[in-house]
Amino acid sequence: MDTFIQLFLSGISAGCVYGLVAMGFVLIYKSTEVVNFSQGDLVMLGAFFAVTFSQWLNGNYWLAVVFTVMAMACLGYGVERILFRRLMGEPPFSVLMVTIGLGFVLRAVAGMIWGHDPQSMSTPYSDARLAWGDFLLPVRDLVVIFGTLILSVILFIFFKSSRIGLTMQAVSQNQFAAYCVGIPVKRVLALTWALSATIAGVAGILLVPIKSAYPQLGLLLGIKAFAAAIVGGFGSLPGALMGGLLIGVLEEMTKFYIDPVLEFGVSEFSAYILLLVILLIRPQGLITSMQRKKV
Amino acid sequence: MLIADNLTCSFGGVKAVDQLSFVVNHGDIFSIIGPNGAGKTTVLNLFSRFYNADKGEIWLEDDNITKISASAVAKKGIARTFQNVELFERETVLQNLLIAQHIHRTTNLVTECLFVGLARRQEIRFRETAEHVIDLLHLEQYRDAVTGSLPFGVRKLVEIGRALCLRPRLLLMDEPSSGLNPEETEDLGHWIEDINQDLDVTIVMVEHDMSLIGRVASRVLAMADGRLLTIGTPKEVENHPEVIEAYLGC
Repeated sequence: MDTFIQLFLSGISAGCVYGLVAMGFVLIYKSTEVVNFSQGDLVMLGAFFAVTFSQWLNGNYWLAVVFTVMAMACLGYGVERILFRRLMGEPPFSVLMVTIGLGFVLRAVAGMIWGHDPQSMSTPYSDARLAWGDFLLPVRDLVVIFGTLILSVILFIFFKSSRIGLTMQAVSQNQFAAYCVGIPVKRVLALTWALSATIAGVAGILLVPIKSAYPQLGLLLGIKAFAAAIVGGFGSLPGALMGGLLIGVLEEMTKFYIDPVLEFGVSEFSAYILLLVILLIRPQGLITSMQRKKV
Repeated sequence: MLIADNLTCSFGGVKAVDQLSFVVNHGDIFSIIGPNGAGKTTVLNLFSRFYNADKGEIWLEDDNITKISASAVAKKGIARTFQNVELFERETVLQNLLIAQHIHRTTNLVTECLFVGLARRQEIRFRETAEHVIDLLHLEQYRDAVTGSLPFGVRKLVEIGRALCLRPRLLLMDEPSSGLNPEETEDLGHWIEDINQDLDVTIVMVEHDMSLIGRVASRVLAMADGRLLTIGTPKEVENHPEVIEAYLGC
């Protein structure tokens, strides 16, 4: 039972990261109807920023976190302003191709700046473990879980109460109507990109003590998070988080219980099996918030 | 109140609006008519700043609004409804009316998230305005209904309500009676008159229903192929030879 709980918590921890990246996917998709395939690479940049700021600030973890979040927000805002603002009104498929291209560029640039070797970062909790009888859990996993929980609560309050959160929701539902009630749609879209990049940055910060930072970090992560977003319904932030958690737990469980039996890495593609099953039995995803378009 | 001065707007080689000039006076219910493709909705889209004019100017009283952003139009006191209804479909009627008051917010991120003091008083004020509009348009039974699930006629009313929540001085309406049955069109005529007279809102509406226009419009502009044909009372315009020719082609 202890092993099961330990695996479950590890799965939740991994799932939180998938969930955060999936929330980034959903945010951009709801506002612009474009899937940002560079979302995983933004996580990679967040991880590298955290490592770099930590080095510059002599290992001051918390200041590095603040600087990383700010840098990622600026980066997201800038990417929309410089790149995606020019593509407004273009077919979604063209914009989608640009997001794939952006991912390639970000990986290449990260390789040029930071090299291709994994870079780790020391945190106040790097090697700490929580012991409870036979039960051992790395504190870094708990930090990921609580970090995600805190961010989710902040996002909930932000979208429910703040003017900018409400305008983001309004823009995601109807840009014409948003213009008519005086919402500066273009600025709100830029802020949505900033928020999405910030969430990716937080995911990077939480991930770097576990996986280190390297240019390909976001590639597989992005694909699995994309699956998580679809499992969750691709229109709902709680759904995206739930999809991420499901995939994280499933991976950990299959890695421990099924891989040794089959002598085969089922855990590597368990996320996609879950995706196929969900699409077969509930194509709209776990939480439905998307609407059919009336023509 | 609203002046269109020599407005021209082209899409490729097609001139949708061609050197159009007219004045809408304060208190008018000003209707724009014309056959399909005459450029009527383009005129509204120019006023809403969804389109840029190639030439000409738009003045709202002393403000030149020809080049302001589309989102700044609402702040100038211009509200808009659409032929096919553009609402926040996943929100309730009440939430649509509350979102519309966005431009009147004076709070900041911190007070909004903590929901104290000014934010609380502001929310109460917005709710009062929304309830007043709900009463005016008899939307009480739909207050908490998600707008996407409502019948078309009700959604049209909600859109008018949302426009009123902006507290506008000018209301642009694009074919308000399209898709409505005769009873709903009859009611619409009353709402338009009430909004114009009781709330002192000047109205510019693109409309096809001549009986509605004859009942509520104070002045009518007829256009064809982007150009002005005539301006006058509904009766004068209806009997104008160029208008008859544009509609009947004879």
